[in-house]
Amino acid sequence: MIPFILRRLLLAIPVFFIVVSATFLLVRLAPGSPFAAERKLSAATEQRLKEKYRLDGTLGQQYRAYWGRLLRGDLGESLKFRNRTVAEILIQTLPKSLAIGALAMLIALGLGTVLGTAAAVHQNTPRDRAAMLAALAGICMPSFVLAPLAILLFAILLPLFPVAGWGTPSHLVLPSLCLGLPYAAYCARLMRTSMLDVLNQDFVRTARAKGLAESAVVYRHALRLAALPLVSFAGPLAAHVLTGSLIVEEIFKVPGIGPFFVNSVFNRDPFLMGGCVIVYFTLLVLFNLLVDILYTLLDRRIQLG
Amino acid sequence: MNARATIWIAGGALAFMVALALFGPILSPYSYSQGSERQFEPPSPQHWLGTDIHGRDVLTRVLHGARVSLLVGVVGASVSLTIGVLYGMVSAWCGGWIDQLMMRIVEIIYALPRIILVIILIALFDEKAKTWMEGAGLASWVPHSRLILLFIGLGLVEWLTMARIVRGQVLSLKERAFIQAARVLGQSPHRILLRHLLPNLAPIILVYLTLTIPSVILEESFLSFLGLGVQAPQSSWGTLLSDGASLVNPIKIYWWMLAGPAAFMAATLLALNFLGDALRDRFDPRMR
Repeated sequence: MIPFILRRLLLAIPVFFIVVSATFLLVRLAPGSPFAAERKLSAATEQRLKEKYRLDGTLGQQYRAYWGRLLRGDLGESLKFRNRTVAEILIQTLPKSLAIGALAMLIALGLGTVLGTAAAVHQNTPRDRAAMLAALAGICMPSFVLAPLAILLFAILLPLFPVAGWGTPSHLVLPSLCLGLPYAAYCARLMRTSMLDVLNQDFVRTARAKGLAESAVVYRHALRLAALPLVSFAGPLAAHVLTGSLIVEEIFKVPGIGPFFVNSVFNRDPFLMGGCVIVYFTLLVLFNLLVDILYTLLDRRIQLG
Repeated sequence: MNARATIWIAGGALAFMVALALFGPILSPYSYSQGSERQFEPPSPQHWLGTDIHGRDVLTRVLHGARVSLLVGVVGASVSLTIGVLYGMVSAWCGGWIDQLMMRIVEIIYALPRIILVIILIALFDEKAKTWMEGAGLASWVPHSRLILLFIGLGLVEWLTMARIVRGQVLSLKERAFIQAARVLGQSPHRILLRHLLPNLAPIILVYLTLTIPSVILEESFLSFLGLGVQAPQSSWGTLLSDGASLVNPIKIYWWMLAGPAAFMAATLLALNFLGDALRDRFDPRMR
């Protein structure tokens, strides 16, 4: 297990290098300057700003300077939000996105598993059809429609939760529901297909022939195997959901990382964008690793290699 | 309901939607861009889906938006289809280190957040594309440069899954007797790929095409919500929905601004998903 984890982490290093380099070079090669504002800067001021942020000289020099700082653990400063380092921004915003994202993942996986399993066990009954229709509706509903509707229903007409903002646990409910529900729909569809597949396998027939109760067959024997596709879907999904959704965070006025991530592209803010990409990539690698480890725990026949 | 009936019903619904998008704006007595005095009217016999902030008929704007959204879906999915199928076929057919390299590249692109990639493409190349179009004598396209970049950008991030599926299929087809026979007969790889492999891939490509279109439409609506898609007074389902969503407030509820576009978009996406699922049940070899 340990050598496997080490090898996977080593393999991630070149990919990390390429991804971070591509991000930096793309942003620096783009037309438009990070210092362009409403007010035109004099050439001398712009030159001093460039020197201050080590963005002067050739692209090669800038690139080497960036990596030099990164390797010393310095993510640089934001060019748009002056006087705030990228590390500060990440420390302030990331925990909020992580909280909402983690809850959304719980909703997506929990609800998805329950709905998908129920649909598969009752295949071709009205219950199955209703669950799958609900899942399709969830997939077809963009989060920027779901979010205002949720505010309208559960914050304005029925004032159960705050309209927007951050602070108390009740502020978490609507954003994580709006973020998690569409993915719960994907998970339910995936779970149903995979559960139907597993329920037709020989070992399930054996378990039934032994006289096990249907619930024990489904939950103790079939569920472990049927969860495998869901687990591999959940890896990249977790990295995506945990790094914050621009739309959900903007509509609910959550001070998370999502808006920073997207706006760093518009602002040509190379260091902030690099920091966000590094966070995303790290989460992606960690969760994909976790997926592989979970695989061996769920299905003992799978060998790590 | 069996797969065959679903295919006919969902296909019919889609054909109806395309016809509405094509002829609706022509038949409508209102203009999608010209405002009037009658702001924020709820649905009435004159304005079936009400009017918006500039007094424009919401139904006309939804039908006009359907043109953009459907076009983005079809073009984006076709770009992704072409790249994905070619990439997957070449990767699997060459095998060895070429296959390894090509699949590593796919993994690297998977490691970048997709929607951010599209935003980068649009933000970075908008100016360049405009200058290029003027230089190439396509000055009339300049106002639509964003839309064209959107087509290309969405296609460029959506092909990854298609490439993997096609590669998997070709890997198994490659070992089958009829392909071996074609090889032994000395047919060129180019001919084998086009004449023997492609027809066998067609069903699965068709299935994933119908499943890619809805996700491209959703992504376009997301980008339009961010202000990166079509520009006013043009409309797409995404811009209409974001207009409606921005008007949800405690004082006055303009529900028709959200309900109209949402209903049309949901109906289209539902039909496409139903069609895709039914086609997959019928044609996907792994589903048998």
